[in-house]
Amino acid sequence: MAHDDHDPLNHPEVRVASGRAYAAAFLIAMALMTVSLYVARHPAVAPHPMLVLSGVAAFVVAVQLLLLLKLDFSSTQIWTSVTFALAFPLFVIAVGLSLWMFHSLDARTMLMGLMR
Amino acid sequence: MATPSGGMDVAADGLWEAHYHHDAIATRTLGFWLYMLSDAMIFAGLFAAYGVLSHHYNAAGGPTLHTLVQPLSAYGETLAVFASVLAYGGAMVALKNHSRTGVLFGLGAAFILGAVFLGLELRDFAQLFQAGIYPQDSGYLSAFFALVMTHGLHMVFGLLWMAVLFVQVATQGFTDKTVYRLLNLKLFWHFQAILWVLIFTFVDMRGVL
Repeated sequence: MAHDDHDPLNHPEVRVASGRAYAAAFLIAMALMTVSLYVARHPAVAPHPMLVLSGVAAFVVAVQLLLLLKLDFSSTQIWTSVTFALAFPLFVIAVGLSLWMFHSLDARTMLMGLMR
Repeated sequence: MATPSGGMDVAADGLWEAHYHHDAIATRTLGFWLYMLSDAMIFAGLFAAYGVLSHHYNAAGGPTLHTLVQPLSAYGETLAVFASVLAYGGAMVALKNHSRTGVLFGLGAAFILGAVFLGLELRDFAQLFQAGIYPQDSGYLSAFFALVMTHGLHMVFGLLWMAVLFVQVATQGFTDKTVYRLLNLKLFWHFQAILWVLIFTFVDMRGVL
């Protein structure tokens, strides 16, 4: 690390800040959340509204990870990116498997069917 | 810690230290980032519980979000969170430009917008409670309140942290400690915006559908 003068403001993680990226992240995220609101209130505009909402959310999260948290392969950010890539599957597996297990349970048990 | 010469050559180790000294800021931010990733697993559990318990069977005949959700209020909360994150980004740019006034201004704006978010959320909760809808009424409502309130609690702690940092930056300026704390709070605050996208989509908008 080449910040021998010990000024913490010369640290690469301080230098990585970018007003343009933060503004772009805000505008993109806000615009797409507006789209989500519209789709949710007018579900007829899309054949599978929940799929559209999920796709929009995934895209906004990706934009925020790239523009706000600056996940990339630079020497400053590489470990932030690697640890995220390793932790992300845990999140998906924890949520995804729970939903899948209970969904199949719901489909196969009589109790749930009788409640309908 | 292992040394490049294996501890055999003191002069070489000194040279190594002088050129590649321990990077305290990077160590702290990576450590905090690992905490944020494990904190996300709390939300994974809560999202899984909400996903499972949002089956109408678990509403126990009581209300589901479809009857409760106020889409415009949720949208207003989204705007407040994103604007607060943007203001915090402004503080980060000011930090890069050595502007203490800019950092304080950005922190202050982020704090106010975060407080607006909490105000809107508390108003929503108050309306639900007034309508006689409580967390203990059904498994569905427990999962809903647990998820949304956990996020709200994160926002509360973020605001507390922001207030403390505001005072520290104002009194101590930019030291190693205040700088890594500002960077850690940036990770924390921006992470809350990401979680809010998931809550807005999979709780509020899914409720509208």
